Amino acid sequence: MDREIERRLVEDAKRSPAAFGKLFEEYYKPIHRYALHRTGNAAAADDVTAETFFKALNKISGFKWAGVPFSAWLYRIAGNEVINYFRRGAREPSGFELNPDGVTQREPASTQDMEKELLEAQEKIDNSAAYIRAKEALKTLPEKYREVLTLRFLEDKKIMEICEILGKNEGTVKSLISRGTARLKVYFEKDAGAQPLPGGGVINNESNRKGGS
Amino acid sequence: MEEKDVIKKLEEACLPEIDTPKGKLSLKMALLEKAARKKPFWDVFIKRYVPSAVLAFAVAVMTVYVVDNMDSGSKFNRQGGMWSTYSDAQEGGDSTVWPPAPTKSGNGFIMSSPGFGYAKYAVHVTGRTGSKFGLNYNYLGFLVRFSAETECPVCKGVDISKYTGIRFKIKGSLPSGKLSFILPYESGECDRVNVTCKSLTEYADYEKDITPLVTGNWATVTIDFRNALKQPSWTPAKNLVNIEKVLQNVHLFKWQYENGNGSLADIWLAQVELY
Repeated sequence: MDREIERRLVEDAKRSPAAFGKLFEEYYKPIHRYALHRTGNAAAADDVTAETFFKALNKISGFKWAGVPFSAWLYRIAGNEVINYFRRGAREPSGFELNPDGVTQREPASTQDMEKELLEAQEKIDNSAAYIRAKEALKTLPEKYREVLTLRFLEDKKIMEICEILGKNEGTVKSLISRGTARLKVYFEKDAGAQPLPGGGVINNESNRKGGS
Repeated sequence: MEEKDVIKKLEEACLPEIDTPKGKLSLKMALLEKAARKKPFWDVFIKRYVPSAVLAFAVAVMTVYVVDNMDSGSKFNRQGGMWSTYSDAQEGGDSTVWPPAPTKSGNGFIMSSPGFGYAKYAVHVTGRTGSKFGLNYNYLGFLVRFSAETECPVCKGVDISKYTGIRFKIKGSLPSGKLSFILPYESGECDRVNVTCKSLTEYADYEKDITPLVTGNWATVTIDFRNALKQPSWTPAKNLVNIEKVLQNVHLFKWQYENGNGSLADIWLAQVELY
């Protein structure tokens, strides 16, 4: 979205629900996709997306333009929510947010339909072997690498966009990508050298060779 | 394996289109409903804070406890509780704070001038949160111990449950990030390595985001302990604690700034009192 249009829309959204609805339509898909890539869990991604937009709605009146687009702000909130999700021990999603009266803010018209939709989405994730392998690999990295590598290679974000999202400078982002990739290289090499054992364990060819020489 | 092979693996890991139209619609409806009910900021602000301020004034006649009015310019309050700053630098982070955080050679905290109203001094803290630890793990802040006995090695908590809340004057500049008032819950045990009383909540303490209240002009922040403070949403069940228990065992008050993305935070604080 053109930044000037986005800027006007955000200003309108501070007062108008309809304008917020437009922002939601524009950014629901990328945020939901980012949440899917980060969590690998359809229900959790739904939860993270919902929390992200509720938080954005709550805080939009305080949103100030400081050269960072609204979308970057949303990604940043989503990133925090992903961290919260993993902090909760990656348990089942926390459920719909409660408003101050304790009333759920999301009232699904048909819970069964939504559950079916989630199951289908989860099936697609689980059937994506390349994603599952990458997710396992990313899981071994500290959060700062997971975040930046997901944005760069799974979300296909440009370096400058990542800088805006993370609030880091170009050098730092490039360095994180480089170090993260190097760590993954080690992981994949080790993984390729590991063979499954009948008991479920693995034996590493490299160390085996060394041990046998 | 080359680096480019790793990149290829990641690019190939991109998920196919996954649409959840029902979930999206449900969320949109809920958001629009909430947006329609949402009142303008100042309306919420006035309704939330003005009545408590009026109530606070009434109660003030009966019970007000001055934590520090900064009249002496000392880094100790009247009960001997010490002011100090802190940041993630003590854990290897790259946030910076001034006045400097305590080290083995002492606490370099100083009061600044001018204070609020006729007071000569105020707490003045500046700093930048770093990026080394990533989002939500970068921080700086300042605190005041309730009294000398609430510090290490004694770590004796104080019962302030008869008070409704805390209020203080604040002003400053926060280009980004979040400033929270925090009511920590600490044990009677001193962590001699870090020279602090041990946290009973693993730092998931009751807090209140006060960022919107910090402007270039002095403003009074009034926080009702029982109604305005909440433990963070990520608090593990084992660390959830009743606010009354916390109020019966208070050691200190904290103001913590996070996620400033390197911008300069400039915070002034004065006239801290319980009401």
